[in-house]
Amino acid sequence: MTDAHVSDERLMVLADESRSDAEIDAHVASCAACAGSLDFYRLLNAEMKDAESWRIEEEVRTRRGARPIADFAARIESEDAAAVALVDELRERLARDPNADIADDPRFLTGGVVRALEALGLEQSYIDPFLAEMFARVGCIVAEALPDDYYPANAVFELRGRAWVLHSSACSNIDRYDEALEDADRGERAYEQLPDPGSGLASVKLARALVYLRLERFSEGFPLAKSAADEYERRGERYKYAGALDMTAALHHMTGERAAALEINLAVLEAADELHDAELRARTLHNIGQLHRKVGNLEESGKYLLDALHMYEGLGQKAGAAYCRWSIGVLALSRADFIEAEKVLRSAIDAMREVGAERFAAGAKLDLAEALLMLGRPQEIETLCREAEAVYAKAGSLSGHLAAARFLRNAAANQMLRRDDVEHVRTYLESSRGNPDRPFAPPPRRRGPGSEH
Amino acid sequence: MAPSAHVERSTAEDLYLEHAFLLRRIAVRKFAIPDDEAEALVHDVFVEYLVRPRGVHNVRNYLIAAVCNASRNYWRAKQTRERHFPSHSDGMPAEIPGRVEADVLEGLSLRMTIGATLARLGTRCREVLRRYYLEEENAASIAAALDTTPSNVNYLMHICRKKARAIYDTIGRPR
Repeated sequence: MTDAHVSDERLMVLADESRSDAEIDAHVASCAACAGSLDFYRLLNAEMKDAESWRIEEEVRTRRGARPIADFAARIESEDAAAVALVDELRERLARDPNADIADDPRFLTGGVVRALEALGLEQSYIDPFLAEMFARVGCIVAEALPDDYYPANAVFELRGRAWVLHSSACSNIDRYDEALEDADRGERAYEQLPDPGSGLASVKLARALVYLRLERFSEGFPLAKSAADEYERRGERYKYAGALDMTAALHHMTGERAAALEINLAVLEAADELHDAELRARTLHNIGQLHRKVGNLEESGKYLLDALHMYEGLGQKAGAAYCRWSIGVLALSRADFIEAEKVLRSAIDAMREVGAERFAAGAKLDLAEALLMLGRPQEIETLCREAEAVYAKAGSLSGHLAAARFLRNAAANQMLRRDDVEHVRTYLESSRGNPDRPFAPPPRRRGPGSEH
Repeated sequence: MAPSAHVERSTAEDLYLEHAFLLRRIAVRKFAIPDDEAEALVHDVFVEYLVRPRGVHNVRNYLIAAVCNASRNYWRAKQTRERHFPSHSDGMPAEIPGRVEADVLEGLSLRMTIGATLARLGTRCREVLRRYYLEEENAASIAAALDTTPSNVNYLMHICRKKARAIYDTIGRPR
């Protein structure tokens, strides 16, 4: 036999007769192309003997059942196209009056408008959380105003579920946790109306996990994030799976399981690159930077945090950039570079307040207190602690945090504050994660000046 | 930025044709959904998929998970209805044990690709191949039915399968 390929005709005969031919067999064994052809003809012969193959053939040829699906896809496409101009108009109206009654204008009551508002809300979530909340809120209003039979198969409940889950997350981002949990419940009720609620219910779990993460109720957040990740993985929803992993990593991080958090974050970083998701990449770089700081790899930490900050700024994500500056300020404290720490922490606090993250800003103020103490300006600490107290008092559930801030303020007022005290408070804040009700106990009373060492 | 929301009309149609048979079979065989209701259930799954934003990287896995959930929900809803409006229904059947095995799915996916390949052949080719392989007619009988000669039927058998090979390569392996 020469090196030339075996003709299709000879391969078909071989496939038909299920017999072997030594000469052809020898060639096929060393020729992937001919082996592939022979396999195909054997498969084709076998499949053509099965009635099911011909039923499939008939369905595909007659396009059975596909027409309504194609028509529905065309409807969604046309709704989305029409929503572009409508949402521009809607934005103008909301800019004039954020509480404008949108639902009274039937032109805005379309699924396309809900989806466009959702896209805007997601886009703004790390840029301007207040604006994100407004888009999400209006999305809920429009979704709820649509009739229940707006789409076939109860699919309007998918829109409503998504709108409530987005608003839940938006509320978490601006410290409105009770509302976030109520919205998650509303989302759950909407998704339960769907033929297949699995993916939607996973997003509700993630919304609740975010609330528990922020409220430092980590043991409640873990099973939710894990369950959501499992559901997304099972369904091949990689984009959402990476988001659920991100949440799991954040929970590990906050509970001090740094090795686990780092491992998951590195996996998320890979996923972010595969998915070309710049936002996820920025967030993950930030997380990895924080983890390196906590294990003492200060140089590595700095590299990751700066990369994250540049990405956040490049993406125009004000909130992400503000949190990242806070991390860079804390890194400066770890390096004992107190002048730099003060500068960065002050800018982080201003930026966090600007985006409505008052509780995070209060936490950063306690870090700033350490910098001021080390710079020999304890008199400024009292004011900072008072501001933090006001935030914790407003949050209600953080009585330990409130007591810690009060302790620092009193110590500063009595000119008794030492770095040990600030570190004691920091240790308390770290250890109270996962148990926000844990009471604060002041450090053991010192006997006198100079005895703290 | 969020993934774009909609799927183009032709893509949606192709997706449906590519997966609907498999999904119906899962609903019927694994979950004992009646034949006449399985099609509506699969339609519902597709409608829900089309309303959701994109970001699904393995459409087949997504749709299989969706049809399994929708089938379970079908029986849950039916049981709830029966409680309020009792009838002589058999209630929810036991789910057939085991996962939807990967090798079974792989085999069915190949069959669906072959089915799609056959659908793209010309009428005469389809007729010759169907009569020969499925109906097990011989070349003389096919020739008589198609008003041609047995040697032409044999020629067509080769030509049509070669054409099928080319189509199959264009369609490729299932996504």
